[in-house]
Amino acid sequence: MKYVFAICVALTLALALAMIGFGQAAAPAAGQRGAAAGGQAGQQPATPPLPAGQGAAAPAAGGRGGRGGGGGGGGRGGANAAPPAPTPRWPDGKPVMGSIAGQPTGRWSGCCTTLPQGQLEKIPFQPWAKAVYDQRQIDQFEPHTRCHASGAARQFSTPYGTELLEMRDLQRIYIMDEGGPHSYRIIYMDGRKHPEKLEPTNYGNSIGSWDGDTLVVDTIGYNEKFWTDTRGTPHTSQLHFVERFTRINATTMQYQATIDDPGAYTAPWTTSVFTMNWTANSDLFEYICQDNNHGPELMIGSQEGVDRSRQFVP
Amino acid sequence: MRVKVLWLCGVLVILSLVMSVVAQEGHPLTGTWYGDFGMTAAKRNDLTVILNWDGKGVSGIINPGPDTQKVKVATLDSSKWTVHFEVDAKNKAGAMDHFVFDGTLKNIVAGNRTITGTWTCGTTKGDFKIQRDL
Repeated sequence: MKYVFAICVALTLALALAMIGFGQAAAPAAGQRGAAAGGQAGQQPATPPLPAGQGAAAPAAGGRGGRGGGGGGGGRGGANAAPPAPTPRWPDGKPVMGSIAGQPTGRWSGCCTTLPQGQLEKIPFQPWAKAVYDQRQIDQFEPHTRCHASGAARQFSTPYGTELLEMRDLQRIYIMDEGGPHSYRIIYMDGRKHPEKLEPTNYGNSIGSWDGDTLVVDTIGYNEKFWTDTRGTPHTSQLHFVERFTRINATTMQYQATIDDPGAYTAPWTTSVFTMNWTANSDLFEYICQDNNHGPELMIGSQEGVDRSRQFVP
Repeated sequence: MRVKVLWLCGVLVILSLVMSVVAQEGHPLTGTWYGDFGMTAAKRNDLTVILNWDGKGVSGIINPGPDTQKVKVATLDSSKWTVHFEVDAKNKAGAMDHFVFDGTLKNIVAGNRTITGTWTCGTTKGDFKIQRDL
């Protein structure tokens, strides 16, 4: 009798667990429809629902869609979420990296506050660079908060996003900052090489090229007046920074960078893939960093004293 | 006239050296450091040190100008933030003295970080404090 009871309990538990399992499996399957649609957009005859500001670009996409992306479609309640529109494209088939002519402008936000994310233990820091990185986690006294223009990935982790402005006739792309110094970087797309002699600058010298649908931006000529990301990943003026931008659909940009800096690391390393999200119908606005800037006072951390006699002028 | 031109050129060279290394966020020792050293609190001597990290080692000069000297050895122990550097400098009699400085970095993340510590020159010793220029 004891055994019968035990078997009944075991069967009931097994059945309950299986039911829970089925229940959980069903939701993601529905929620990930967006991702599936994104990856198979080429097979969809119908135009997918489009977010505001991207409608005109969809037909030019030719249904190429993303690479199995659809980052916005999955998750909770995904069953009812519309899949993101496919990557908008220029008439020659290249992805539109920013806003579309004749459409309301938009910005990219999100991205990479800490480049070593997910692989900190594997980063080939030189000892001094690791010590500096660790210290910067305590003392977040970064130049960006003092209104200094910050190049590399730091340009994308401002609170208000960035605008990528493609000037195809001039063969260049502008990356417009919002927060911090309200400045910009130029990516030259005309096939030029880096100048042999460079005056080191905050944004360096950027040249871009296409690797399929991925924009590859190669930058050298950095100075050491900024942090490469919000959390203070160190660099020196020997930094060679290669970024890969892939717009996998209308609202999602993948970003990955390779850091080659023999001054701070023992070997080149590549970040994880970060995601930037598109905010449609949003213009850059006037942002004066120096106005009411409390950054220096708020971010002193464990430091004993900071010279406040100097003006914070970028 | 020629002397004036040479003097002006010298000043420009020194200025360009100083300007090129200010406000660095890279290696903690890179930059221009100024302060003083001495045997007592009342008796001090100016000290300016320009250091640069090339990815493998630290090099530099002290007291840029007519009496500048190369820094012979400069190291940073980033596990303790201790700094060691050695330099030869002319004394009043014109002979070279060998100075050894050992200090500790403070306010590492701040642009105006400092190095404080002690120095020795033979049997003579004292303290020093230098602050990095922004």
